[in-house]
Amino acid sequence: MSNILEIENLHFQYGEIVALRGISLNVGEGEVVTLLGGNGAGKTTTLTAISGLINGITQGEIRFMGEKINGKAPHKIAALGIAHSLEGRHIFSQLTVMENLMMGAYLRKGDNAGIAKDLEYVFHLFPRLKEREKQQGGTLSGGEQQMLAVGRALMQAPKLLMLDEPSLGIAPIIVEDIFRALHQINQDGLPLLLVEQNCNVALDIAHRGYVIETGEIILSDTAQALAENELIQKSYMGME
Amino acid sequence: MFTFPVILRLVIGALMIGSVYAVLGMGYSLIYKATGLMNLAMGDFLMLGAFVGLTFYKTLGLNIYLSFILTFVVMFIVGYVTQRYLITVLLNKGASFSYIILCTAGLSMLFQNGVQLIWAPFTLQFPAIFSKASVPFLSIKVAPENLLVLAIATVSAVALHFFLNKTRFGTAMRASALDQTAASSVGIDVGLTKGITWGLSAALAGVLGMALGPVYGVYSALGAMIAQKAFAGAVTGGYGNIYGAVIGGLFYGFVETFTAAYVSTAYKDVITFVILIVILSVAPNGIFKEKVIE
Repeated sequence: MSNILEIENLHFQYGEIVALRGISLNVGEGEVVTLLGGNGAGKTTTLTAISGLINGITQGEIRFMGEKINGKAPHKIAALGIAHSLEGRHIFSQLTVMENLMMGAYLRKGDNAGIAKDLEYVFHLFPRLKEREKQQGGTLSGGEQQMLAVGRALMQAPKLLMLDEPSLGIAPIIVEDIFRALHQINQDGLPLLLVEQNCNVALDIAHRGYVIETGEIILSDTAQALAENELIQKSYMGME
Repeated sequence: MFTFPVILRLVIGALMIGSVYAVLGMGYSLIYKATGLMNLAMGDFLMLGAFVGLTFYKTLGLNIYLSFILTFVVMFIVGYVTQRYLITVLLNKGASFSYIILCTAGLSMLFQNGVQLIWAPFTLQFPAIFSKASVPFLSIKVAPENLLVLAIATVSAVALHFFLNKTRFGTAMRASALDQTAASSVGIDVGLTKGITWGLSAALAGVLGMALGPVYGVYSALGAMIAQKAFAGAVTGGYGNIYGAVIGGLFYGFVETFTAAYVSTAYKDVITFVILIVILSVAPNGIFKEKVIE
């Protein structure tokens, strides 16, 4: 299996504060890879470093489909085919659901047939968005906003979808819906890089996982092995 | 004194100047919403547009439509360059917002003195655009130049509304103003949308400045008082809300015109700003509350 995303020895700093100390990871074609860890471990930093939203890489390399992408502007990285569904959802609150989705397709000038097809796909995954098409994003519930964030990312027609804590602050029953949709999205061929604190749901749909602690990867294994790992069960799954 | 022709004449005058405040106020609001900044050189973009328009129309003898279009283009570039190569550079150097706002005040002085150096330190005559000095309108006669100002302002406001709401790029501009991080993540070049926001604001101001040329003459302080009233309108309407700016701008157009006619010409500006202070102490967020970026 060839890798779509490769990170090699990545170091990242916010000013003086070191956030990542040489992490390496990769995501293969068609894979769901999860990055687990507690608060402040460096999960979100890893994703924002990949999508170029924050500068601060001091060492190391990020390659997407073989091309080095660190140092590129975020809108150029998005254009290469990386969609990043942000932590806290970040939907456009005063734009309608439809406008939010169309902003996902912002770079797909002239691909009207493709956009229509993907829109149908998003509405098929999240029928609630179809019902709320004309509503402003800010009026949606937290779960619906998360669906919109995922839908907007899908409208980018990405080659890799990165998700930052899609379960955060959402009712468990809606989390199930969203993860069912994520599983479906992966079954349809899209590789996912999933950052989560909720290990149970993440390992459920993931093939492999990495555990990150204070900016370093301390463990990497198949999802099944991680789910059975005692350290993970103790530290992250709340099992004694 | 309260006859129909008099009132009608005042209403047209109020709409003319009020529509100028409205469009300039939309520019203030756009810039504030998209970049969190206040542009103290807004009135000078308008004034510079009058000089640039005069140059195309009178000095180079181009036709009026072409002169307006070229003025729009030149002023767009001025606004765009100001944002991309002055403000962005300062921001990248870590300058705080208050210094950048001061920098726009400096730009204002530069423009006001620059035009005196390049063109003239006195009022220049803008030749009449129409062959007739007045046209009949209902029961009165109106200078066609005044109607032109109103028409251009109206077209600008409506066009801006459609651009922002019905086009892909306009929606991207609104998206960037709402959430820069999310906008970048979907592939919008936020630096570009900010630059275009400034460019559009400057271009609309400049075109209005040119249209005002035949009405007021062209001089370096042309934009100063207009900008203050437009700013008052934008604040009254709810700073950051372009529709609030339109309502606020028209409101002050009427206040000023009717005060001048029925109370006192000398005190019309004082009264305008007293009203602003009263409104702000009652409704500090303006008529339409608007949430803006930090």
